Amino acid sequence: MRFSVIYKLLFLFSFSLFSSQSFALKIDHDAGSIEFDSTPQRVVVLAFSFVDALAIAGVSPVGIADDGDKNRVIKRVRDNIEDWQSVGSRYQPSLEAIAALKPDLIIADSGRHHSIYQDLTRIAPTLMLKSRGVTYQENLLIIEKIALAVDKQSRVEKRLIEHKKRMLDFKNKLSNKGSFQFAVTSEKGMWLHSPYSYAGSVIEELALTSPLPSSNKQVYLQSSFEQLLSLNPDWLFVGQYSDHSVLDKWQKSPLWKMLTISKSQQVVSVSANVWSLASGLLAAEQIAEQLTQAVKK
Amino acid sequence: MTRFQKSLSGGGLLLVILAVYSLLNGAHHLSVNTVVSTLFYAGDQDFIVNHYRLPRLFIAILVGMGLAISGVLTQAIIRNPLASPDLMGISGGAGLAACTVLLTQPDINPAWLPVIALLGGFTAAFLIYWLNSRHQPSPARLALLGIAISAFLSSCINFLLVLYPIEVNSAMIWLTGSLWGRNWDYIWPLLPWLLTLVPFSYYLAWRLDLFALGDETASALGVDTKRLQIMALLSAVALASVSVAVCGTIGFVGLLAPHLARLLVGSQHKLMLPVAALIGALLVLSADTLARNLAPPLELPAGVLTAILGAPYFVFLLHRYKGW
Amino acid sequence: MKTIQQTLNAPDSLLLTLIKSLTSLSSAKVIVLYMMLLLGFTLSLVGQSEFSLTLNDAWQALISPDSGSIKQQVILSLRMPRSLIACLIGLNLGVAGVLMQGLTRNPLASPTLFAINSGAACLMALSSIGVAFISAFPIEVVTFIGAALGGFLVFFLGGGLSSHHNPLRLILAGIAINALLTSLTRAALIISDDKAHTLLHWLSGSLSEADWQNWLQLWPVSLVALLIALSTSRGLNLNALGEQTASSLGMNVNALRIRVCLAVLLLTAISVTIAGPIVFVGLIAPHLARSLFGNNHYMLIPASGLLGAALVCWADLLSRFIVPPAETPVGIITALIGTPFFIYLVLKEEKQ
Repeated sequence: MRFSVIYKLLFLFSFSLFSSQSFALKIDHDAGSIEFDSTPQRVVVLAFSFVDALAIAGVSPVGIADDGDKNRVIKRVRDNIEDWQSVGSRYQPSLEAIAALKPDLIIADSGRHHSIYQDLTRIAPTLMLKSRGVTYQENLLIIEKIALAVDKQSRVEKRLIEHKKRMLDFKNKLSNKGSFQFAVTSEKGMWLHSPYSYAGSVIEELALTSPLPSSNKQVYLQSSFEQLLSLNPDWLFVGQYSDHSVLDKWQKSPLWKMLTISKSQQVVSVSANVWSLASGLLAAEQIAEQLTQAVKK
Repeated sequence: MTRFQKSLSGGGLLLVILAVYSLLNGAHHLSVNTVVSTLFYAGDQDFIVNHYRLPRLFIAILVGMGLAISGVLTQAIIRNPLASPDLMGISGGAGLAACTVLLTQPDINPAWLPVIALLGGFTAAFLIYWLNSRHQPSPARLALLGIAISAFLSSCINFLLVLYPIEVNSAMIWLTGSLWGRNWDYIWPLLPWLLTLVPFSYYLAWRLDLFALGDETASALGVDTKRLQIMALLSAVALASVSVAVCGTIGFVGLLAPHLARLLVGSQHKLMLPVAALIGALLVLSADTLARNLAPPLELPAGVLTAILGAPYFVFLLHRYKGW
Repeated sequence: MKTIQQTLNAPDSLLLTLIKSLTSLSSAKVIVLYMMLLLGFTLSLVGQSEFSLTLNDAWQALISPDSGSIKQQVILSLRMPRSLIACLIGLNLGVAGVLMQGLTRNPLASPTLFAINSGAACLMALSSIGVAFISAFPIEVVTFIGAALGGFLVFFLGGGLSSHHNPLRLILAGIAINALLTSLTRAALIISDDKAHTLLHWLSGSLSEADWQNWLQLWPVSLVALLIALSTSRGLNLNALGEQTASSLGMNVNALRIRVCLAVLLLTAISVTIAGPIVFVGLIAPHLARSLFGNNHYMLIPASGLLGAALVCWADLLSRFIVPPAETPVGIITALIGTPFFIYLVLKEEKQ
């Protein structure tokens, strides 16, 4: 919460600057600030949530750190941007590949890339913003900041208003439907995403309750079957990392019947890319849609 | 030419070829002309050549030298061919200290990392030294102690990572060792250490030869063994920790380079030290060049490649060695 | 002299070996050991639960199971297999450690050194990032192959088959292969990105997903391997006298090697497949057993197994209490307990 207040202040601050000086635009970010003389045309982004923000702004990035797999950018975002070049993985993006694209703006993740900030600024002005571990509310402010940098405020403002209306709509449809939990599973266990994660914070935004105790401060929580039993959520949304998961095992156990989710088929399989990896606005809408669809059935 | 001259010139030639290759190739191929003109007059490819490939080239060479010399010194002092900074847990100690800070204080200024790594490295080194001086275990035992301590340290790191799941990747990259994103700024913390410690270790060379003859012989020949041990150990730990602080724990270099050097020029330290340093530089540079060129634009951690290059070679050495 | 006498008079049939092993464990120390194991087992049936389980629930679940009671169901279908698996895996690792140390006559040999753990971990990590042909197999098969591969590599490259093999060479080969496999595992973890934390949990050794199905995979293999292990008691006793003495007393050293390696491989591979690498147990248990019960393998093998079982059982119990409600992987606990002990051991051995 502390961060979001800072972001708000920074945003207001940069806005007031913008209104006083119409050409030299100054934007503050997590590692300093940049001034723009002209609107950037060639943008390289190093995290998926920023691709989402650019898609809303109607700007196609020339390069994305997509881990060498274009399908990791979710379809809704892919449909809204033109083709791009891969600049390597998010954990170690190739600086030469970025430089070869000759960008005039780089948007990097302040969590992952703070050690290469100096290098990035040598290639092009760089915005350091939070992507890893970002929550829904934090991301809204980041979207506005990116909009400001690529000079698409009015378009993004409009889209944000529409987005908030949609979310409100979903919220009304979803009210009082019990507790909701998102988790990822693999063959070796289940990890619950708490309200401090992106999916968790979207669920919280829709005024749905989380079965996790409020004392929990962890982002991801490993959960054994026993813990799932004691949390007993009304709805479970599962992103599977592998074809087989512990869930298959658990469903065969006699204890499975004691869970609320077993009674009314309230386990919904969803895409881990959308729910966990993308962490953008379009992703949030897709999450909300899937939640509503599941409840309607 | 003596074997020493041959090895040195051969290695030097190889290093130059590798260096040129690594300047030309990567995610973005450049021609010789472009590279040469960029080196002298900057220009369009200024960043890629002068601020990316060139500093990485130098850092790879420096780190390789540092790790190799640290390996030579550790092996000489402990009189144990298996001693090396990574097997003895020195790198592990530096790694744990740096990881703890990276995980618990993610906003910390990266300039503090070398200091913290140095502290961790020294702690682990003194633990080993203390155990060694009190009990004088045989080489095999000491190696086992090293494994145990390394296992302990990596368990501590695993425990930290279970508590901070979101940072797993950055910590892993760091633990494996990588030269990604290392620019000129990283050379400054390295250079003063290397500039003082490399000549210093060369200065120690003939004393180390005497030391190898045993404590009594060495003292009879006028070497203050206690002082020598402490000076050499301090230099070894400092070299290893500074390297670890810059690139993470790149394995196998400290173990492999001295062995290979000994194979080439024998165990006289005056000859072995420069050759080992050269081999260390070659190893790290080739690992980093491979890391950038195997699957561009994806970058792999160089430490994985030193292990892939180093492990089979080490096993081969074991196979050839007839002195069992 | 006494050991030699015992060994020479020892019966060779499996049934008699079994009887001899079981009856040899009847001193007061053994009773204490059983009590420790039983206490650990019982506590881990009910310890640290969101359902506040009690011993009474466990008792009721055993004598008159009520399928409607969630507490009893938790005990029967979650806690029970987990505790049983913890014990059996501990038993396996303890026995495997004794066999290795007995065969190599190196008191510091252990499954960890033989790269069995890191082999399994490496292939498991590679398979989960989708490395082509590896990920086609079920995960249990993959880890088993990895364990076997790591073990064989170290054994062959370390000269385990040559007539005058050197423990130092074996250790060196172990170090090299371990380092290689570990760095490959780390590379896989880095590439796996957002899956990394799910992988790491298993890679540190965890029993939190152990269930009845795992038990069904575990016990038949373990039973066969443990019987093979017991059948080597006599051979190991002779082997302790030195290879020459052993062969002059009519023992086939190579046959013993093969049996021991087979047993060790089965025991550790099946354990690591189910729980991930639980380190140091195979090292500590045999040493404790040796200091409690002496060097006779008829006694040593079962005793070390029991100690291992108790150790893993208690470590698993402890793992739930460190940062509740999250579980700490049990392999981390055994490493934290094991290292100081190991260092003490190395130094003590050296003095003698």
